[in-house]
Amino acid sequence: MTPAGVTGPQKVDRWARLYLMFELGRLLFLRDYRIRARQTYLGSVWLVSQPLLSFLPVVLVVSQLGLVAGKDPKTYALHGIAGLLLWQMFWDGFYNPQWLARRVRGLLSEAAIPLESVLVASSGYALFNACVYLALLVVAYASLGMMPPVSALAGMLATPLMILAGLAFGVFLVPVSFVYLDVRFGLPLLAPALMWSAPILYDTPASGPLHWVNLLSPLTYLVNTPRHWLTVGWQVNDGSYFVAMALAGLLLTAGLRFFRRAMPRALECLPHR
Amino acid sequence: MSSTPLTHGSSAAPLRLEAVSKVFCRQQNLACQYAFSDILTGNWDRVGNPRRLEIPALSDVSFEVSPGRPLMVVGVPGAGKSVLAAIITGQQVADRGVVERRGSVGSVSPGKFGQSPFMRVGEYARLLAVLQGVQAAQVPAFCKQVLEWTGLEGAEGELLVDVPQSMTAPFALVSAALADRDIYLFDDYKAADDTDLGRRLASRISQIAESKTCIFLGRLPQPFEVGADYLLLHAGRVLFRGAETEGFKVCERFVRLAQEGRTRRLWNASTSQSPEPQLHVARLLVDEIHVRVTRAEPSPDAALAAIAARGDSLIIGPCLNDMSWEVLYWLPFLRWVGQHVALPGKLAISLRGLESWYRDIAVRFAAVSELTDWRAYRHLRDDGGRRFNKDKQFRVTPLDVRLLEVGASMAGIENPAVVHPSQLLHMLDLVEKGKVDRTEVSARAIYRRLPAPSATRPGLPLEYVAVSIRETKRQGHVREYSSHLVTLVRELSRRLPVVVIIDGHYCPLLEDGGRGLHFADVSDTKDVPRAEARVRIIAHARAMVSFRERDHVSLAPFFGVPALCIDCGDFSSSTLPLAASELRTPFLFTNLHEASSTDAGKWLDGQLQQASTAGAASRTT
Repeated sequence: MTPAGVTGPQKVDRWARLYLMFELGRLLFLRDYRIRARQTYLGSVWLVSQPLLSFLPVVLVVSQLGLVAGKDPKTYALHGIAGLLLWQMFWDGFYNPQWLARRVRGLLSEAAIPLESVLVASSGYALFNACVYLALLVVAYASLGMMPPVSALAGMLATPLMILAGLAFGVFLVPVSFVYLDVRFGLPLLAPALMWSAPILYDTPASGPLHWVNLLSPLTYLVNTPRHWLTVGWQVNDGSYFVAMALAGLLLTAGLRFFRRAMPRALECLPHR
Repeated sequence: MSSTPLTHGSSAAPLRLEAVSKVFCRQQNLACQYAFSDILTGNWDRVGNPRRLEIPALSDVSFEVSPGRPLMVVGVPGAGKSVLAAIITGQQVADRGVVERRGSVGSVSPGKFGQSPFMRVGEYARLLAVLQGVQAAQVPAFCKQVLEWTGLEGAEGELLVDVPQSMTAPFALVSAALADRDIYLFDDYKAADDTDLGRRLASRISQIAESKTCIFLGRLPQPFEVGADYLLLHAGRVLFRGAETEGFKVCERFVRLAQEGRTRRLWNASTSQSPEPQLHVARLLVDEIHVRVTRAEPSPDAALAAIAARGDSLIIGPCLNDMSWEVLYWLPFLRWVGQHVALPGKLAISLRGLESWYRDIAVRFAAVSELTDWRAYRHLRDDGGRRFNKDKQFRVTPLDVRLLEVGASMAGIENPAVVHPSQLLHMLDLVEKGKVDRTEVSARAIYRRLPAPSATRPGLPLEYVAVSIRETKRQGHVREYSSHLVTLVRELSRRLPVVVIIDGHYCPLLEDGGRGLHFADVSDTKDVPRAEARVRIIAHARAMVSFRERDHVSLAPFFGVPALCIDCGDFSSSTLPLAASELRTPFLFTNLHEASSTDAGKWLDGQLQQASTAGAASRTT
């Protein structure tokens, strides 16, 4: 059974709709940024530093204690920080869409807007954060006295893909978060478990349960290669990153179809008073 | 009811809705549960498979709108206007049906539309421009125009929180009105106040209404300078469509009546557990208003054709009138109805009628006492009487609504149509006023004899003459009447035993002529309802003589009992002699001065003679 047949402006002018989607996404991002950064002097620093500062002590402690074999403290610190930043980009892409969609629910219940603009706005948000993360990485290079390799440029260019990979998973949760807020409350609890399931602050062990958890986590493949590019150099013998990215692309395509179909139904659950 | 389709000959209208339906769930928690399940399973057939507490927010709504001819959709809260608006703008998707939009749709309504106090004025103007679908190249000019209209030129860089709220409030309305759209939707739009901005907005909206495709949604209809169509929406259904003054008046009167509390249960259509009984009430009310607005003759034919076209299950009644009215007018009318609508209906409701009378009319019969207790009955009846006064018989009163609701629920009828006595009473009223000929009533009646109750009243002789008298205690000329009555009863009881029907009232001292005199007070029967007790006596009588009483004697011809009416008034303008003639039952009426009691005796002799001749003939045959 298909929904009722509808012909409308969305079929009239594709380019106008695309412009509308991106411009609206930009304005929604700007609107939300202004709200979050209101009455602050440092603005977005607070927004970005909160998740990072909770894990940076772990990086420093682990590097000082020498818990990671085969790496000197400085190398480990850079390894950990780069992994942490990449993870954070993935998480922003994953978490922001449902978070931002919830914040613009008033507008969604008032006006008919291209719903994808919510995804554009949240991706813009994640991209903005990614720029700040990369700036932090540059600071980390300088403070640790290390020079970034040439491949770091490729690592930096891979950051939007990291966000899209997060979005590929997160887009499924947006409609559901309009129906049940459990998604919104449960995701922050899920974050540490997801992060520790991949070798972000440590190296994959040669055997044992953690080895298998790492192998099964898609994050392992998404983080390892760009981190290598950012901290060590080219890693041409591992194609798993590209396979993982291709799968994420397919998942994103399916996710967008699901999103377009499910969102109008989910929005009906917004209480109207 | 007018059911002119709102089409204007062009299939390429900018906006066309065809059989659009939308389902919603009345309970928020359940709605979330259903939505979660639908999202995961991809279930989109909500109309075909409604679940618990899912009711249609819109049901088979069809119309099209052309440029320069606005459509005004009117309805009480919960009628489905907002859902309709959301579907037209594309905010929600219809569960069934086709929505065709040729061009962009803009919603003109006050609101915040993403406004945040920490946005800059320029950013908000740009956001509104984008929301209104303004082309990229025209956005700066559009923003400038909006700021000029709202008096905020030069304030682009300021935060909204720093600008007086009175200046930012009309932002959304102004931008929606200024945007160039193909289709405009005005949701609950109220005329602007008498300020410079208000006058400019009114002028702009008038210009839009004249040249663009416009839909206005509101609780009350508004007049238009250009020609307009009106559509009355109630509980998601289109109750009425009309154009110009007629459409305006019908919609306005319906909403006013609902608003004034006369039909309070209609006010919020969505709060009802099941909107069906309300819908019947609303449909009847609209029919009634339409008749009054157009000053047209009542046309039960058209109303019945509409009921037949809907093909719904039928509820008949509730008939709360006198038994004589029920027998003489209502039942024959229902048999005529059967020629238009497939009978038997699902349920017949009556206060005084007997189940056996409705056997060919409805599958199930419910006496009013089965549907409500007497305290509630009296309360609702008095309430209706107070509200509607003399008009109560032409209306569907709260008591009717209650009985229809309970009856429909008891019989498990989900989408019934109602044949209500008011449809017939309207016509009878016009007959009384001389606006409609009496033959119109008799043309809509099929007279048939009614089955007599098998049980007789205990203690009565096998053969008797029933005498019905009117209370004479407080009448003038009491002595004269009493004397006539005494002589009449004596004369009759010389020929056959006489049973005098008393309904709890005073009866003068009567004399037995020799064959026996019995008194039957129908008001003191414990096990049998008063109405049935009355019918038991009349239906088994050999003949009936009525002295100044009309109600009981009206029943006699329907049981094949010859009747003589003495001083019961003039029946020449009544339908009763015609009915008696159709039923082949002798019926004679005379007044006190023309007929003596001896004449009554002779009449009885004649009837008995005729009966014995007919009996002998039938035995020979």
